Amino acid sequence: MIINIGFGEQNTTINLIPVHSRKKSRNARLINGEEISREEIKSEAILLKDKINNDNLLGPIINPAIIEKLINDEEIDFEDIGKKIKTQQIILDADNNPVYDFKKFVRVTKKKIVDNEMKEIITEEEFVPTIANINESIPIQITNKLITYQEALKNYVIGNTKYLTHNDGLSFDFLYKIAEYLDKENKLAIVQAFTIINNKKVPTPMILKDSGRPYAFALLQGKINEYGEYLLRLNFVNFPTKNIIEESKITPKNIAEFILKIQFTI
Amino acid sequence: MAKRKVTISENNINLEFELEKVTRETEVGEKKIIYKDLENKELRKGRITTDGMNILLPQGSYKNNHVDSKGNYISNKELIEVDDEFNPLPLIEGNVAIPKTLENPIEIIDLLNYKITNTYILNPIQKNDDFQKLYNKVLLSFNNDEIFSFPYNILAGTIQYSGFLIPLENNIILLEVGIYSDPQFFSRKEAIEEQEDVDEPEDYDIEELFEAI
Repeated sequence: MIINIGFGEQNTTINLIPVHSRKKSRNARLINGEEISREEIKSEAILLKDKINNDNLLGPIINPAIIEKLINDEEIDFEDIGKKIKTQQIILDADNNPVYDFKKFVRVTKKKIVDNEMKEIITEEEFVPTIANINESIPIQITNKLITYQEALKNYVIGNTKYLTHNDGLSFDFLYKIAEYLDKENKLAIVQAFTIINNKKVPTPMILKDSGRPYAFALLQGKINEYGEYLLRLNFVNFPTKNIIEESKITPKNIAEFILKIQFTI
Repeated sequence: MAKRKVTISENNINLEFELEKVTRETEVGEKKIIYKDLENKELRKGRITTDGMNILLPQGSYKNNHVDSKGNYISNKELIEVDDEFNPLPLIEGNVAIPKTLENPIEIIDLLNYKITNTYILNPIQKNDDFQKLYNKVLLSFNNDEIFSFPYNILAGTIQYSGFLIPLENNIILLEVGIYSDPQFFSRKEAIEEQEDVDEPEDYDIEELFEAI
């Protein structure tokens, strides 16, 4: 994907490409020796014969034609059992009737320390899909905040990593300069997305794709080598480790009380 | 469910740890999408067939299966992973049960060559002096820009997983599990064409990776 990135006063469009943690073309061979490329194999849903034949299936049938067949004691053709099927998700009420007019909510269950006690806090709010804000037109910014590798790995767990790559000579020079700077400093730069509110730049979560997960910020690693090449890896921070440390400070007594409370709730 | 355990062997003493999985959800809150009707009654998700029969499928009545281009089903057991030349990839046995040793530190910077798939807190079964010595050793190494690593494959498979020990404050040791990826340098000559983002799903689990070929 093409993104816009700023460093100092400059900004330019570059590519953001995935880091492949395993070989891209992972082919397969059948035990009988037949060779199959990964592209030739796809995943399809199939009905499981033992499950489909039990009585539970015949309860919630929606198609009125099928219900009529059942009422008239007509035989239902389950010829397709065990074969591939195509399915679609629907929303049902408690009586298994389809519901078309509904709202989506997000229920968040969070453990939080209140007065040195672990509490479970549940909140609910209407679901609003996230919208990607990393693209060609809105620049993300390489800030002047640098952190050491030790600080980064001690404080954050990395969730997603991408390479920054050039698409022409100018963007090569731009990215090489950044990589050279970070290599020399031997540190990682904090990269953030910003939004303008009341003429002020305010940090905003980074969202790579629509409905994707938001990342508070990313850590940019830069290296150069003796062949005049560069490496720029953008490491999106999955979560901070500070909560792990805070939770570990709770005394065993508090933990026991917390477990008891949960048991009573259940 | 019993928690997975790992043993670290240090100075001929075996220290046993229970693994407590840490995810973004445990840290920032567990999110669940729920559906409600206009009277605020909670609804549930279901699946129907789209063959015109519209049969409501009970949970567990179907599963995904590999199919070849001719539509024939392929069992996972029938598949062997191979490289580009169709040579079988070497199988790495599960090695979680084998005690780990603190012998092979990597440079701290090299941890970024690994895609982290899972993170755990190492909870010592006994928090004694031996644990403290181990923590101090891990911390000392970390402060010298080195991280202890060891092979960490839960199941047999063709992907090599590695575990890394990160010392946090308050005597906590974090175990991060990841897959190696060669660092890629870019030269002036190669202008990268826009690539379709075929990254792995963000929320995959280690077991799922093993199931996928």
